[in-house]
Amino acid sequence: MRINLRIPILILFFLYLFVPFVSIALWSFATGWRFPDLLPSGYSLRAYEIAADPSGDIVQGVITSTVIALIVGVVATLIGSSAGRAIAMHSFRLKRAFQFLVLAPLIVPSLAVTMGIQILFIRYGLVDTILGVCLAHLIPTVPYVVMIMTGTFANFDRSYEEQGQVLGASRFTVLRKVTIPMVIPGLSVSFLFAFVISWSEYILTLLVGGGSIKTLPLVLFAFLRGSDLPLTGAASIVFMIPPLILLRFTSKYLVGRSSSMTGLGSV
Amino acid sequence: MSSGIRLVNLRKSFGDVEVLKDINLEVRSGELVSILGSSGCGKTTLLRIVAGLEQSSNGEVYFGDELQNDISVERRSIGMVFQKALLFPNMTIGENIAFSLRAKGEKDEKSKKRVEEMLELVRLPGFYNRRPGELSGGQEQRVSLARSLIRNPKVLLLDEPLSALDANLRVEMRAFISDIHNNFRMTTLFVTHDQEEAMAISDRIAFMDSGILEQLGEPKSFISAPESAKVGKFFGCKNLLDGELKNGQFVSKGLALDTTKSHTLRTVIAAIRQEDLSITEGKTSSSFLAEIIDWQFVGSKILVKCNVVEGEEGLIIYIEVDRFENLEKKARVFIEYRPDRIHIIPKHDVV
Repeated sequence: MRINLRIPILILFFLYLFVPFVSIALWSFATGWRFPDLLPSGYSLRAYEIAADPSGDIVQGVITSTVIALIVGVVATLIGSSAGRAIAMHSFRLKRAFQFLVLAPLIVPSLAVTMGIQILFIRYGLVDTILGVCLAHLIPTVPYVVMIMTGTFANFDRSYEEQGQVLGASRFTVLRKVTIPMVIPGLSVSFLFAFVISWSEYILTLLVGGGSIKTLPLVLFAFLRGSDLPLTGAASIVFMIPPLILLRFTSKYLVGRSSSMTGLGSV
Repeated sequence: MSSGIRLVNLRKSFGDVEVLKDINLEVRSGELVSILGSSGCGKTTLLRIVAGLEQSSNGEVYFGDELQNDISVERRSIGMVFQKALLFPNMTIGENIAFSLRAKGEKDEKSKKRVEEMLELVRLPGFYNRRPGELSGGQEQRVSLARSLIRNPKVLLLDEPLSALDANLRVEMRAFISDIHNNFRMTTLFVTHDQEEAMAISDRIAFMDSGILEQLGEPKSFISAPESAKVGKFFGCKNLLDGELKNGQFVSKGLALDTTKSHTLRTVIAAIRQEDLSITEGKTSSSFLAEIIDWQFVGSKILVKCNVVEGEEGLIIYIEVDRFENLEKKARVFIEYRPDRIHIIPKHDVV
């Protein structure tokens, strides 16, 4: 007789994903939680009150992170979709080399080049600035956008644009009314990826931001090294929310029929 | 108002490959001209140059008296329908048809009435709020046509609009396009690789091969008077014989046939259509003896392959007959021809 392992494996998988999350969530409300106890000894909203302080590190971190991730999301999507379109729809000299260069940041460990970036950015006065951090964040984000948009444009029929043109629409009108609506799934997923990667980036922000651009991961890391576990828990929960909100609005493009990615099926 | 199209010394090269070699063509106002040829002959490139989607390497495109070369696609007064209907998936059928009006900044309420009229015209009333995915291939192509006609273009360009449809629908849509053309009398260039389609729909046909305009004329002239062996072959003439003209006779490999047309040329090609030949009981004044080798059914007719007995070894003639009567392999029969139906082509190309 075959033993059906599906259900047990599924349960293990969920435990693996959610136990750490549950413990963080519990910690964020805990007043104390000693080792052998299954649950905290008491609950309070103290950590969230501290977290909600408008001049506190967490609120400031959320603001800084949001500004940077939004800029990076938009700029990476713009650059990456142009490159993706070029790769998918045109042939040009040194195309292979261009493709390799665009995707190289995915392969080369970012820590290996961060030193070089830092030296360069110091020379141009870009360290300790939002602009510098945004530029640095483009390095790990653009390749993902290029990958997604190359796939999207490979499935896009350029004849639709020509049809738009022969109907008297200018290139800009065609872009706005024909092309963008047709590749919006790819653009949405690209923006989601770029936003989330930028949102979670730590090392580049630390080195280029020089500690004065305090994004949420930096704040969180400082808490982790301290001993206030409820506050760390609260910061972690706050850290998770924006990407989840974004996922809520882009998930229809991530899976299912109008998906820009393949292989995820329909959940 | 519709205007004619004039193409003057049009050339186009992609790298080293010359796709169009000195095309001169004049389409009269209100005329429907098919550009016919097999794939790769340059017909689609020609149409794309007329539309402005492609730049010619040399030569001029005129609509009426207006030179179009420096006018960009979106400013040319054209309607163009492609092989695929290319309805914008993010818009309703109505919005698709109104696209050109809205691109010009026309208000929705104003365009809506005209869109409804166009839907009426392409026999799809009440389809305004439908989505492209809900339509059949033929309906989509009709919407595409309506979308092009609504801007009232000077010329209509159709790039194999029926090729993606199945056979029955193709014939139906062909008649539909004819109707629309008779209604609007819009100057139309219709690109196709389908000889039958071109014959059925066109005022005139421009036959292209390897970037050259081989023959321009009314459909019937391609059957009765092909100007080259290529044209004869494309239009299904099975007997294209190399030979010479001697004393009012065409002589090929020992077979001598009377002709009515006098030519000064000596080496020529004779195009004799299989349907102009017939099997007779006995010898007549214009007949020759042949041996039946084989036959095959072509539609409702029978194409009979014969070996000419009088001629040299290997002189093959094809005859088309209506009925399966007295057909026997190796039987010797007399084949009657009509001297006035032997079309003589000056020899300057090789089949």
